[in-house]
Formats: sequence, C-alpha cells, structure tokens
Amino acid sequence: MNTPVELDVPARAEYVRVVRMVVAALAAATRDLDEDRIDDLRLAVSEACTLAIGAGSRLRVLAREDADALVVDVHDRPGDVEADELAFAIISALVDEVTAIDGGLRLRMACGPA
Amino acid sequence: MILRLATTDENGITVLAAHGEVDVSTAPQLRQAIIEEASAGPGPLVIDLSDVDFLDSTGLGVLVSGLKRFRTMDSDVLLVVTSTRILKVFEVTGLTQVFRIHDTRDAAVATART
Repeated sequence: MNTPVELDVPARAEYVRVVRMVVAALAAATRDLDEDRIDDLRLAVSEACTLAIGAGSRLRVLAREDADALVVDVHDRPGDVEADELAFAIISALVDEVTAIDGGLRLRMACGPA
Repeated sequence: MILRLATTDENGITVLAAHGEVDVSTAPQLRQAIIEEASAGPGPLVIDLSDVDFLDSTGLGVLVSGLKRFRTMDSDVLLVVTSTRILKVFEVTGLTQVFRIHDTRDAAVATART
C-alpha cells in the first residue's frame, strides 16, 4: 500500500463488512501487524463505518501508510459521534489514536516497517 | 449466509446459537430471534456466541436490550463466549460486569437451571 487506497461505496449496512475486510486485508498484506492488532483495526474501522452510514449517502474510506502507522480516514461523520457511547468506547480502546477530521474520523494504528 | 441462528433445547433451557458475524447488517436478525424467544416463554435464555467471529457495538446493543427484556420478566440472558477476540469487545465496553458470561455451553445451561 505505498499508494493510498480509497473505497467509495453506498452508505448502506451491507457494505460495512466489505470495507472492514478490505482494510484488514490491506493491513495484513502490507504492514508488520500481528493478528490481534489487525482484529482491533478491523473492528474499529467497522464501528467508524457504522457511524458513517447514518450520516451520508456514500461511505468513503481512505487507507494510507505513514512511516510508523496505518491511517484510515472514514467519511462521513455524524454530528455527535460520542453520543454513540458503545461504538466510541470500542474505537477508542482499539486504535492508538482517533481524531475528528473535517467531515470524518481518522483512526491511527502504530505499526512496524512496511 | 453471514449470520446463521439456531435454537435448541438443552435440559429444558433454550439455547440460541449464533454462527458468523454480528454487525449493523445482521444484528436485526439476532434482535428478532431474541424477541421471539422472549415471547415464547420467560426463559432464561442462553445465547451461545462460541462460533461468532465478529461482534460490534450494534450486536452488543441487541444483546443488552435482550437482557433488559428478559430481566423485566424476572429472568435472565446468559452468554457463552469462548474466543478472546469476542470477549475483548465485552471487556472494553464494561459489559463483562453486566452479563453473566460462561466459557462453555454446559456451564451456562447449568447456571440457567439453578
């Protein structure tokens, strides 16, 4: 994944599974992440996507590599993400950093060399 | 089939076993099955998640509302969780304090019978 991978799918429940599978497969193929961390990333991305399908008509996910991390941006973001306590608790517990970005959520997962 | 549900009777206790993935697209199936069990009788109900390989906050939400439904009838929902991956989702959300979780179906059924 030297170049970013972008997914743009209908913002519907059945596509959430597709997105989390693709992101997990990319993480497994490109980075030095153990299986538990890939599971964590898969679930966190899935939670962010589930929040996003309530927000817009398209679900857009951009996965890219940093020197020391995988970064996944998920759009759109509903107005008040933290209102969904369970989802937010899960995302916060599983990834190294979650930040609100313009119209989305950014998940960051530290990992070894590409 | 992404989520398959099967109901069996074990020594007079109804066991609802889930196989596959519980997420935003399949959680409604699980919700429906729990509602049907609640209207069929006061339980208690054992939900066996041993063969579930993905569970997110939507699935947790369905389990919590199912638990409330049974507790309103002075009954209970007991869970069987065998994988650390699924158990982790309960741990990071604090729900290990809310559910009675067993690591074998026999143990859950035995508790349900007391």
